[in-house]
Amino acid sequence: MKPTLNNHNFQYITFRLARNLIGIDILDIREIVPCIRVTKVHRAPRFVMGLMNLRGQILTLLDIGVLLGMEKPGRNSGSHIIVFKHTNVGFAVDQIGDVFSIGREKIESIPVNIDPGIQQYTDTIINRPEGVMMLLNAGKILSCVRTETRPSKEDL
Amino acid sequence: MSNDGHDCLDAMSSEFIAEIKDDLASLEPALLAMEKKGAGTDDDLINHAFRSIHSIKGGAGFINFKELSSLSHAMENVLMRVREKTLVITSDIADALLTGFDKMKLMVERIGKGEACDYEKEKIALQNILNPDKKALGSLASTTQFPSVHKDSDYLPAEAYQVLKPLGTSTIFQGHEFLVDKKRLDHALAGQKFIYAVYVRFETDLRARNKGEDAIVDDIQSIGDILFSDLEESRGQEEREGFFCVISTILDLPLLSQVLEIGKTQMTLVDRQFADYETLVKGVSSRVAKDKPAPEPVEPVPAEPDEDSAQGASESILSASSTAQTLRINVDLISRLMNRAGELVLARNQLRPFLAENAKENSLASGIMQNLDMVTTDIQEAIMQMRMQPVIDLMGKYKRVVRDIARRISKKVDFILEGGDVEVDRTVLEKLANPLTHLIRNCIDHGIESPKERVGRSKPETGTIRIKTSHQGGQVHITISDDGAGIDPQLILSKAFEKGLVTEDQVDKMTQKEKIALIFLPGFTTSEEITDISGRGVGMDVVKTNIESLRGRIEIDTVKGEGTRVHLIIPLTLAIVPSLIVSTGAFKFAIPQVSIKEILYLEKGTVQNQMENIAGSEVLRLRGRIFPVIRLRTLLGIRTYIEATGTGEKEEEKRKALADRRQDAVGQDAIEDSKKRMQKKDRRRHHWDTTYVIVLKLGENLFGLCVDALYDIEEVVVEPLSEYIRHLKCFAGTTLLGNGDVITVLDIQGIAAFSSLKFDSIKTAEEKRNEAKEKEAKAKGEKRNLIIFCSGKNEYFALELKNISRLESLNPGDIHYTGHLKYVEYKGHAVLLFSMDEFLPVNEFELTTDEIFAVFPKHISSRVGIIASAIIDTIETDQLIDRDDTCPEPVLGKLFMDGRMVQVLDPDKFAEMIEEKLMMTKGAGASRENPHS
Repeated sequence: MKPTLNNHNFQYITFRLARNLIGIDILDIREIVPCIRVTKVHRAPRFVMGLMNLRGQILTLLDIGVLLGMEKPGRNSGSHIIVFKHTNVGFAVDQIGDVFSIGREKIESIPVNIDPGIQQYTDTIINRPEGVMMLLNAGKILSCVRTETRPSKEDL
Repeated sequence: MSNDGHDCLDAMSSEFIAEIKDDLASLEPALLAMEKKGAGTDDDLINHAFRSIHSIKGGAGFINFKELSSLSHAMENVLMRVREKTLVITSDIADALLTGFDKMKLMVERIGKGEACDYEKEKIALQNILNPDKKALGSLASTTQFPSVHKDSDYLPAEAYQVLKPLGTSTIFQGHEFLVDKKRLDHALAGQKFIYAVYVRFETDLRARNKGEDAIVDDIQSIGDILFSDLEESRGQEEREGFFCVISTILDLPLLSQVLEIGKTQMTLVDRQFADYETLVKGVSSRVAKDKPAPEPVEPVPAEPDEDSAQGASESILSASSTAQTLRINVDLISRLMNRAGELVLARNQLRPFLAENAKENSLASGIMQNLDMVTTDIQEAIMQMRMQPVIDLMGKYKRVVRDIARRISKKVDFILEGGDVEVDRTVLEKLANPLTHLIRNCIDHGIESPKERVGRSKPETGTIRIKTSHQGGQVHITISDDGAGIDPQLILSKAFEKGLVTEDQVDKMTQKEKIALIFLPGFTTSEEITDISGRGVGMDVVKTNIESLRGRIEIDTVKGEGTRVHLIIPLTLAIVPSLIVSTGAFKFAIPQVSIKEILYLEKGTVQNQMENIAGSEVLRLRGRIFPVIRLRTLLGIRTYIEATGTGEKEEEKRKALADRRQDAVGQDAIEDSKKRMQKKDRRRHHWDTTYVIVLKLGENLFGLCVDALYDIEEVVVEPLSEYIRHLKCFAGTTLLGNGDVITVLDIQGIAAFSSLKFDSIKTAEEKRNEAKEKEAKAKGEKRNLIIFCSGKNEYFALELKNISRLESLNPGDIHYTGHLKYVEYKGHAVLLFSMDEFLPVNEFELTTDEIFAVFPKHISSRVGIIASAIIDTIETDQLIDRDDTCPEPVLGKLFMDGRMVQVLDPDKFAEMIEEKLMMTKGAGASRENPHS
């Protein structure tokens, strides 16, 4: 695929989370770091995985698995952290895949039969020959504190 | 004057501006001190001020900031006269200098913004100072005209010139000597300027840089004076490659070279101050200027009137520059450094296991690790320190504020600073500026009286404002005190009432301190009129909110007529909070040290003695009081595991509360649980075998927090919670520990709120209890001072010392009888005496001994005495008074002391009975029978 200047091409990074292959726009992320000691925040909402020291800055880690309703909280130990751009917020993934470029025409809106919980955070998919892949919407994830209303009293 | 130079401020210029700002900052205190000392100003001070203004002038010239350069020049002229001791700084001169200073400051602030500053007024004010003898000034003023060169030197008397020989080995200056105006040279030397000979090459220095000859002359004049130049002569002479000039300037050689963009080799010192005096003099006298008419006789370089002082001063210049140990650093850079230091710590911690592993094979590894540890810690500490700034940086500025305000409202005020070297985080210092200014203004405006008033009140004419700063236990205490009029609580009250800030009801209940604290109310002012100094009524409440935003406190002590003391207590730093690190389970938390009252260590076995479970809630018994206790574990919903001692196997803890007995753990599992327990030989270790209770204070209230383990107290940098967890009440923020771990900082208030500890109701309960306690204490007698006296032979009574006004020793003959009443003379009054048998069924009092005593109880309407045959003892006892119903009034109970039974009298009852008796003697005295007579 030839990159063009008219922004018709997007670059995505893929990662695995609970056996799902998910993509996120490379422009939305600042860096990918290995996951080291995560400090649990007690009484925090379920989608908050904890805090991590990233070179002297304190990252708040979100649990994307919980947000997407794929996993129970605390289940995901994660191997890497994807840090969002311009924030000190990141999320843990099981495995980092690769970076690929794709034309806009390959991006479609998400099928309507997908769980509405998932649809809160991802609104597009990529229709690739090798398979369909969800694309996370970083903005929506970052504002999860406003959308997430599920009770978080599980770990009382 | 044009602004053309400021448009393109490059990095170099901003360096200069920063330097100018520094010079300005050091100029102001010098000016103030000079004003204060007047004629007695010492040379150091003047030189200091002079150097400052001079470097400002130089810097301004360099960045082509003509307005500043011109104004600073005018100021310099005045200071010059001061230095020559032909001018003594008066308040008016100081005013002119200070306003000039202000304008310069303004100019510097506005630099680069393209706003012109009108400074004519200031300049004229400065020039007016010098007006009386303008002529003397003539030579001093930096003329914009090109200095005249030696064409007409023939016409001038020879003494007016001085031959100067360049120093150094540079071939450029070989064989050249310069004739300069002696007056101007002397002046330049007096100004402690360097004198340089400069060779300007037309080709490389001017044309190559697109500079005109005039431009270089302008350049030179902006940084100093031209004493000599042969530019005019060299003009039109094709063979000349450049021209010589002799200039006086304050800049040193490298700087000069930079400013003029002329190579260092092309300039050299000619000032004898900095050279070997002898050789120079010799050189000058042996050689005669080649192409100049030689003045006859050639005078040696004139001796400096005060060689020593000049030498000393020049040394101090040199030493000042060599000992300059400060460096301006951008604050962002420091924060970045701080972050990086944190990362360094983290990296070290990650490295540690590898090195530890290596240490077994290679002994070098542990050494490396130690070294790394030390360096990292040191770096971190040093960077922390970088953020600290001495308070003098802020307080020093108030000298000027005080002076100006005092002068404006014609009061005389001395300003004394103590503890200026105390260091505070710069963010704190910044936030202190406003409230302090306000407080100081208040001191001058409201506190210090006018000199007339002060004299009238037999106070020294000059008031004193004192700011004392000190470190006390991780906090900074700042006390601002004045010896002024003090605050009249009554005035405050009436004003507050007038403005409707308080109601009459409230006023009645107020203590003195609360009344004074009314000045913190928004909108409060006592000033009748609004001045430009104060009186708008936005003062003290702003001060208070400012201080409180720093997590500080403000207190006011005032004595009417004697002065006011404002006490500020603020933390050293906003970001760094000394905190105790605790843990529960595997999790660590920080508790701010300020909220910790005490820490209890409950040992195995004592836990259940001190902790009680009341309807599922735990309380702690401590020194007779009961506190609510919260388990951090429960609070945060931390699942607990019990580790079996032998196997290390973990089981989930099932007990809900610490004080629960294991047997009644959880219904269903209980049987199985106990079975399991029985099977294990070695009992598992309980996490609550020992526990720590941290007694936390929340205002006046205390509560306990149970944690598993304590660690160090660390100074943590608290960072706010991210938006995802901001709503969590229990945490105040997050922080990084020294080892790179992220932990949360507990919020004490939040914890209390989260656990629904409602201290309001508790407080009333506490009050009630206290009241009850007091009452009980009355009866029970915690500690009492008793006077034991004897009535009759062996009947002993006791009264509390505090209920007795005095004891008198009497002669039996002193007693006067009137019927059945006994009187004694006491200070000219007849005092009625009673004996105990008149109140109690005890043996009659007999006057058997030679000496008797009278006990005068307090709280009786008229003076009454109780006769005692002897005073046995005064004792302090906390012995319980044995009460029983057989005690007749007014006996409170019985005590046994040294084998004697003592009847303790109830003071209230006793007084009541005495009053009754008095009534009876008044009304029906006559009808009573007298058992004694």
